[in-house]
Amino acid sequence: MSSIVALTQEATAPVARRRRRSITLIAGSICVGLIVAIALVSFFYLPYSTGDTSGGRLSGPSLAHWAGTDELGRDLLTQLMIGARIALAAGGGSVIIGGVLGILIGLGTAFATRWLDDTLSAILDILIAFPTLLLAMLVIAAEGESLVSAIIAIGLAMSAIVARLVRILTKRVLAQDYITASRTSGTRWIGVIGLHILPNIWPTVLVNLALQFGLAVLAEASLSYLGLGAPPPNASWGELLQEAQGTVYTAPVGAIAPGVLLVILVIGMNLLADGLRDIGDPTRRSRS
Amino acid sequence: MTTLLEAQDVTFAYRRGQPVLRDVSFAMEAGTNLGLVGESGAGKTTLLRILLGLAVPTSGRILSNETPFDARDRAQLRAYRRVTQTMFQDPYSSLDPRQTIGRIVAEPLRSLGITRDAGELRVRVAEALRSVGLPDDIADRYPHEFSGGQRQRIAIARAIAPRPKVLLADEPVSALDVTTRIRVIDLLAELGRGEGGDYRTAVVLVSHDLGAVAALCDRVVILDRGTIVEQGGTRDVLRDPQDAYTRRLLASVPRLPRLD
Amino acid sequence: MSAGGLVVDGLTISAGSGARLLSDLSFAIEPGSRLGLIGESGSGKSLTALAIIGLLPEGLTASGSVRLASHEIVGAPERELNGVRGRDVAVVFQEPLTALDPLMTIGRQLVEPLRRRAIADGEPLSRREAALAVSDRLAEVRLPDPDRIAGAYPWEISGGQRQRAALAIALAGRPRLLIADEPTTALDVTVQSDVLDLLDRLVDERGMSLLFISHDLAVVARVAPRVVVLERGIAVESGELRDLLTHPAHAYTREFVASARELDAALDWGVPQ
Repeated sequence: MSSIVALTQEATAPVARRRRRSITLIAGSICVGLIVAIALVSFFYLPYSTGDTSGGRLSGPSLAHWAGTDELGRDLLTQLMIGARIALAAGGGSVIIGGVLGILIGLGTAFATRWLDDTLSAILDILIAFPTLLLAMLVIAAEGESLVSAIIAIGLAMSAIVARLVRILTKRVLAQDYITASRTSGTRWIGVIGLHILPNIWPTVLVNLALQFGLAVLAEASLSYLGLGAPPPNASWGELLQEAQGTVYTAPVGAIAPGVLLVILVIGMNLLADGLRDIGDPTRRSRS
Repeated sequence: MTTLLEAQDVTFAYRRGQPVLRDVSFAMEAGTNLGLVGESGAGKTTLLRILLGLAVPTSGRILSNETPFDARDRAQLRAYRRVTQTMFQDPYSSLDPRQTIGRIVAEPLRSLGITRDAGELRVRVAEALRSVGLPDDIADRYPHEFSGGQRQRIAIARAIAPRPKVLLADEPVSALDVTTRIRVIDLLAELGRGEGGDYRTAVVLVSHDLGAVAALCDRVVILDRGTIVEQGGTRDVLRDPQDAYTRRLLASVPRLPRLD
Repeated sequence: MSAGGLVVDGLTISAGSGARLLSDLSFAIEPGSRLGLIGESGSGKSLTALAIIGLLPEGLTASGSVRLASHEIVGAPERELNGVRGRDVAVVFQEPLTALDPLMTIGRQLVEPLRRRAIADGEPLSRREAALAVSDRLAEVRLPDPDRIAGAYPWEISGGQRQRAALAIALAGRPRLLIADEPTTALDVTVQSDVLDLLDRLVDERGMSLLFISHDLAVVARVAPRVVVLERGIAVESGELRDLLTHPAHAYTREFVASARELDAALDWGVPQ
């Protein structure tokens, strides 16, 4: 039966699929590129300084203040630009921590003996069941309010999810004959991991990490919203959302703009990962 | 004549289990192909794992080139793998889908430290591909572009690239169509005759398929439930099976109707 | 055509992209007779089986005609097909481990079609009768200790036992046509031999028609005297198997027969020197 299914996919899928993939890749690159560009620009140019309260409270968009000002009269565009940095740092930082830790733990459990594997898996399950935000609050309570402690906390929570995924993917690859073939070719385990396991689990892990990136950005925004994020004046989008909460009817831009940017980044990241996955897959690449 | 590979009283039991192999002894001389025949539960897989150096016999030993070989000793294992290579049944799962054919065939050459020089690797890979009847310009393509029979040829090319003395082939033609099957068997037979170059590779064919074994192997070992029930020249065993199980096995093989 | 017959006329299977996976296949099986469908991988032989029971996978379309016991299968609505499957035609697949539901005992999987058939015949089974029927049917396919097997899950029994159970389930609805798609390919040689004997006997006893699909000439030779040879979706040759073996007309059949002969001859003489 499976050969028939494969046959139909071969016969029908490639053309439509390839076109759709390249669109997701382009759309994702545009969304993520936009946010990255904003963050980069913010290092060289900001319309106003972060402490500048000269704009008048809650003024709407104008030539002087494109996105208006906040309750204290600070320029909103300036804050949104700084928020882009923080969002990327939160997402990127926790993905690096969660990804590296998760892949190491996941590979470790996949290779562990049965008893150790069971134990580690149980621990991972408990960690995953533990709400990310709660964990983050604990870390922040211990380490103090800062962007770094938020990133560490989110990264730790993420590593458990990534580890479980890597473990199951690795086990599946380990069952393939090409692993045995590689070992009997004389390749050491470390070589087998680098040559066969990582390249074969990478596409799925990559997509998952992109998803986690989005979730991490959201988690950081939630922490900020709860007042546990980066301390002012470097406000994250979450904090901006929280500040704008009371004035959403009088000055809607303050609430809408950070929300829209957040959505663009999260969706863009997912599209990008989806597109990237296929570039690395020889079976989906067309031959000229 | 040298004995390339020998099993002496090999017994294997998983922890707290009944032995799955009991006192298995056979020897393969240079210049002959050996068939290991058995059905499921015969202990073929375990025996193969031991011959691959992936498992260590509970008692008894394996000799490679008339020297005892201990798979727990890294240096010995490495030396063993230079003379013993492998191919598997499933042409789809035995090649890494994300590696080019060139890298796949070059893997044993790199891993065994035979050569790491890019130019030399290219030459050796091309040579291996040619000797299995594939064009050498496929090195930068990927496995999914090839049919089952072609993939098995690629797997053979990988196995013979380091010029091993023994090729352990685990059901190499079972997943192939009949017409392809006969061509792959012919190719394996050529290896033994040294037609691939100035070296010879003898084949240990692990299979349940008596037809394939009969077509390729000079000697045959029949396994049933972990023990060898019969072994000898393939011709003799086929013509005059001594053991009851062998007789039943032979009688079960579906035959083409005689048309005279 | 009376009950149990199958007439396939101009059956064509196309993929969404327009590629033809099977082209213009025609053959007929008289009630109570047998046909072997021979082909290698990608020949379209398994797709033919699926088209006959109206279970082509998503994305594939059939055209032409498949007439089975007064039903036209091609284009028939699912409701009509449900009445046909099990009663007029049943299938045994290659891999019983995936063809059987892993979460259901053999007994429960067997009792379903038995009940359905009994209800259709207007004689619903009581609980006791159903249990008796289950062990009867399992005994009929020569399964040792039918009561234990009935209570076992598919993964708890051997491959040969699974295929026997799958056969019992296929036959439970008393189909007039049995389609066997590589039913012994996944089995050990000695088990294959027994299962072929069993299949042969049951088809005979019940006067069923049989469509036997295989890549193995020698296996087909044991159960079907007449064959159709498929190559990449096209029937290249058909007729009596004996004629095909002695005078293969088509180039593909010649190569196919020659390969099979070579492997077969090796069994007589050992390594050709």
